Amino acid sequence: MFSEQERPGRLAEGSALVLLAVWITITAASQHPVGSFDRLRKLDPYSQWIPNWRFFAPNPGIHDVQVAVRMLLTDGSQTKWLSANEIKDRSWTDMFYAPNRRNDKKVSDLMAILVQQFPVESLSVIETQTSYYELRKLALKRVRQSLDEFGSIRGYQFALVKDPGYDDDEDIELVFLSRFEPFRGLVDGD
Amino acid sequence: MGITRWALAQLFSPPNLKRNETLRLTERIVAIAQIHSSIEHLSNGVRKLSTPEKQEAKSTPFGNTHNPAYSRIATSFSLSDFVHLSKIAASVALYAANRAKLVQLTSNVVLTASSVWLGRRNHLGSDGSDQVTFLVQAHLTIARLAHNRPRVADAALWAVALQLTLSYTASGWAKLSGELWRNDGAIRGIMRTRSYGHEGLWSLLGKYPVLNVLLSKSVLALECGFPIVYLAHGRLTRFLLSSTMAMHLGIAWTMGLGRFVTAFGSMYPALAYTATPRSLSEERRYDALPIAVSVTFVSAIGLLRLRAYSRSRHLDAAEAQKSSILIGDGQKLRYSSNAPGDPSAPVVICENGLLASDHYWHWLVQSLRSEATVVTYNRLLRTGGSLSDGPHVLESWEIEQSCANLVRLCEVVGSGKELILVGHSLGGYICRLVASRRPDLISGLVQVDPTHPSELSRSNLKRMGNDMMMPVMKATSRSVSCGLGDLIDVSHIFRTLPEPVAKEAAMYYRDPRTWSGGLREWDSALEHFADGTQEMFLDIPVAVLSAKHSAEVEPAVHEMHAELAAASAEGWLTVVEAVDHMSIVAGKVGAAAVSDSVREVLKYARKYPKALSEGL
Repeated sequence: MFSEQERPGRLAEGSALVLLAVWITITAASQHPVGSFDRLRKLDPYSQWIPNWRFFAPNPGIHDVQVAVRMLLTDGSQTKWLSANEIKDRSWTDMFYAPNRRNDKKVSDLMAILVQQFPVESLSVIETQTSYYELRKLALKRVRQSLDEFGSIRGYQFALVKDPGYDDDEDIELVFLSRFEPFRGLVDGD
Repeated sequence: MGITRWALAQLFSPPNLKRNETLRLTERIVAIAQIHSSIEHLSNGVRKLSTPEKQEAKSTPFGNTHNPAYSRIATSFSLSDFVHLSKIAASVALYAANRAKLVQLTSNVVLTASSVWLGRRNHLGSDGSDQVTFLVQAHLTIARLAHNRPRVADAALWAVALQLTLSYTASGWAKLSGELWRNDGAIRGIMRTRSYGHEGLWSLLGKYPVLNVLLSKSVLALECGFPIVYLAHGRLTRFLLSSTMAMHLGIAWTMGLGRFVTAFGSMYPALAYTATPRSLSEERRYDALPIAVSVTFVSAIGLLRLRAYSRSRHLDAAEAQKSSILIGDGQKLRYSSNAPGDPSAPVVICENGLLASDHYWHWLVQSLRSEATVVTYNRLLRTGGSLSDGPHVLESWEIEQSCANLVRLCEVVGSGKELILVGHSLGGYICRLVASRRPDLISGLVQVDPTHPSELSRSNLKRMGNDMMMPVMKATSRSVSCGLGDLIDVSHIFRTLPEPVAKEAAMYYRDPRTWSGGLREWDSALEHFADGTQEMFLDIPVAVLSAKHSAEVEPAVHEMHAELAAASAEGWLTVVEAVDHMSIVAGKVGAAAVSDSVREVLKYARKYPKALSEGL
């Protein structure tokens, strides 16, 4: 059908066609609104090759994810809840340049991963997860930043809350409360 | 009027791009998107989230950070930063290289490879724009690697265009399945957040609900209807792309997601190129890819349906191997049991939870097999007169029917023997109903993390869970009926079972009868709960086992389980550590606790067979 010279080229064309057709089909098969139909996504744990086109769907995030931390001081008093991830107010320049958005997204991703563990794993197992570790590090960073203000800190506790943002008609919702963690000073968390 | 007519004519005329023009335009736009993304990464704090406060010597491409010449730069400089700088350089080269084929190829390869590498490291915090730029870059690499063979280039451009179409369509239809989107509450809900919202727009949409509805419906219509771009001979291309670009600009302004403009914009030339009819194109365009995609898609659906059919036949064959009893309407209920050797051994009948199969009892059967006849069955898989008949009568998924069938099973296998019922979840509820109606048959009851008839009225969490679960069950049932069962990920569900058993359990889980039956059964259960007249007090020993995790997540569950234990002449509650609702039966630890409870209940039933009924 094809000459010897043509064959490699036709093979490349045919291979590209098959690869691209299979790629699109797998992508389409991974867009079911119900998350349990994402079996094929296990082929791509970082969602690079099989994009997830279900933006803000079916259930969009309508809360801000906040990591709050409070500290127990050596004099026995405790601080109020402080935010460990300040969400910057929107500015018109964010249209063009908004590097902080990735931080907000990262915290949101970490909470989503952690919350998925809740129905399945016990607290002691959750505390070994990377997502828990990363959120704890965020809380620790806030604790260290508070050393100048509060002096000696005995320990801390952090919480994940869902904040309804600008909507004052709804209360914040506690999603997760950590155990009391003793603070070991500047080396803590290394 | 003249200008308006001209503008409309332009808006609804098909674009006419050539292949190389399309490739170059795509490359230039994606290069801008890549530069934008890398600059943000370099200047931001995603990396800083993980940067230790303590300054330590670090090894970097520029040497040890204690080297005074580099310490200030290198302290905050990592390999990822170096790769981002390379990406910027490659993007600039790609943008500028109009004719240099080698530069185009090299830049595309560098950008694709670096995106793959960075994707693993910057996974958290990445978003849809990163997915799009990688996708476009990878397709451009394929086109350039084939030395611009026209067939491959056209296939790559078609792939980009189809991915764009899929992205809008999938996004739209996924939104339609969400209640918040259907009720026009989604956009306002997103706008109220500080991270992705906009206070001004949130207030405006609250003040003018009509505007909110219009915006919401427009987004859904635009996304769901996007595929019509290929049905209008190219005449809708400019209009639809302008509309979607306006949507992205709106998102950029209100949500701060400016990167989506360039990322999605980079796919538009490919769509414009492919949506125009070939007859209008000045050069020959190869449209093999849509045909290849259609063939692949149809083949995939066919394969999925074939596997679904084969799975169903396998289940029927497995059921046919089991013993059977006749129940109402000439149906057969099939069950498995072991023969412990001692004909007077007690009988333990296991009742599954919602959507569960008899495979879940594997470890319990192993534990009790030498001391009791353990009977397991699948109450949703009833068969007609022969294997070739349809497997079930649709209207008989009522809880009362299940109770009647369980009574029949008890009469056949347990009559005249010590009979213990073990029920998990909804199965625990069914067992309790049967035990309350036929105390003459039942010696004792073990309820494992059972469903309580008042749980939806007493627990907000359970009620919210049920509200979320119902639409998911319906969507799952519909999808599985269409043959999509193979796409369900079950790895986390059956992880506590041995592999061959987990495989069989997965087949059952993917079968349409499990879901259609389960949905009907749960509907019936909800009505039964609402009825509220079931007698809960039992005159037999009752052991209630509560999964530690269930109680941790919802303390009210612990209270309700305690009530079930207390509503019996002799009952007790055991909290099983380190298990959740599934592993309390399907895991070794949970099954061991259940076995122990069965033995305790038997011991008590033997010790005080009359004392209970005499109300000591």
